[in-house]
Amino acid sequence: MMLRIGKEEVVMNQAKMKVGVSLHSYLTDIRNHALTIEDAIRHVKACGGECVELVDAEHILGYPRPSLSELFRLRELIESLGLKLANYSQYTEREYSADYKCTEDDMVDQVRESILVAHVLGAPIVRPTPFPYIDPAVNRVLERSIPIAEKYGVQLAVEIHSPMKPDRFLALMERFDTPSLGLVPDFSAWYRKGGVPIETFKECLRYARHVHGKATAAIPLDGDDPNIPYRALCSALKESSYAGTIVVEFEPPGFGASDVDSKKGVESVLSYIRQFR
Amino acid sequence: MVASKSGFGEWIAAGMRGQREDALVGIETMAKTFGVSLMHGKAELKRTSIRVGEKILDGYSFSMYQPWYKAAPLGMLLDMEISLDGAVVPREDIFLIKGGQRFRLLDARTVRDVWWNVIEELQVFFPWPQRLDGPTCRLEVRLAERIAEYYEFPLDMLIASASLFGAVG
Repeated sequence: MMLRIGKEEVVMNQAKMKVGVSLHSYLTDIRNHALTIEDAIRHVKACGGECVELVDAEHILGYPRPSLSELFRLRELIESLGLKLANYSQYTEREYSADYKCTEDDMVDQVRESILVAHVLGAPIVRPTPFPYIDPAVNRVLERSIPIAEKYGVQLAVEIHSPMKPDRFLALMERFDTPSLGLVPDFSAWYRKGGVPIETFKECLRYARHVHGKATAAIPLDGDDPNIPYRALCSALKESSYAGTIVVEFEPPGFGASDVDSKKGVESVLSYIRQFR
Repeated sequence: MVASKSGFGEWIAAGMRGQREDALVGIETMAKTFGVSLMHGKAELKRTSIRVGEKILDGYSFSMYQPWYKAAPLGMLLDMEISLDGAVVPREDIFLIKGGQRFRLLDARTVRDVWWNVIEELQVFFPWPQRLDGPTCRLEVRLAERIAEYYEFPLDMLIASASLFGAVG
């Protein structure tokens, strides 16, 4: 809304994107027991994040059959800190054992259970990954999951992750054309070496429910990521007036097992993105 | 056996010859990376007993962690080799314990509904009647786990290898 004060026009109540952190960023420290899930959530708050993202197969005790008390405990912690749960990232497994391939019904049930967990956690978005078969002609998991998501007031949003190309996802959005299904553009899909034009990122933002600010290094405020055109992507977010959530996904080389300092990386990238609000 | 010393060597050699397509990064980097995650660089061998039917088996147990970055059903664990100071533990003697439930390694691939999560340890037990001298012993663990999909990378199998001195408890 524009408000004229004297000779100046002031933008009032313009929604800004909410910047937070995917707990995936802390993988190194979480798996090495340097941080608990709760520590990581508190760190998001401490460094000024507004929202968090949880990943089902990484952060939920007792996954894939967590107890309700565990889910409420997490929800209460997030809410008590004044944070929002931006997204519940879900992995659709295609095998349950080396000898058992999941049927389509199995995969729909996996998404259904994630929707129910997201509902309990208070997450507005579930990111399912029925990869690589997002083509509805060969995989009806998404199509069958949409009504379930609608029933529980959750939106589904599929992630565009390197090396996947945006075109297929844009086609998917046109095919379903429903607000219940959107996209999670992950910056990795626009890797410098991949050659995918930034323009396609802007096209994807029309359907974006959530964004993964994948970073491969700590980034100085006036600098850029060595592998991802971070400044250009953040600028595109700002130009488009994107008002959804974006989370830092700090994933440097050697991620998960080395002496990566997750906290410093998160703090750096979070500050970087906030410049573009 | 995939996770035997020779099988592991062949797997790495195939990767170096470019005959495997399932590596996200350099094959050696991958084994080392996941190996660090598997044991967190330390191990404690605890003197433990379990009851199997009417028998009580004395042995040792240690904890290990999901080497992949996310949870997987226990049924994706294909093979494992453990050796103590160079002596290989018979595979049929290896038990996996998750949340108090016990599975023989050789039956693990049938288990669909028990998952090995990133934030929860998996206990390994093997019978070893004689006490180890201590205070440490060389523990080597090789593990092969099936990974169904990593986005569109055709990653079929992950091998983690850890070799370290375990404190004998």
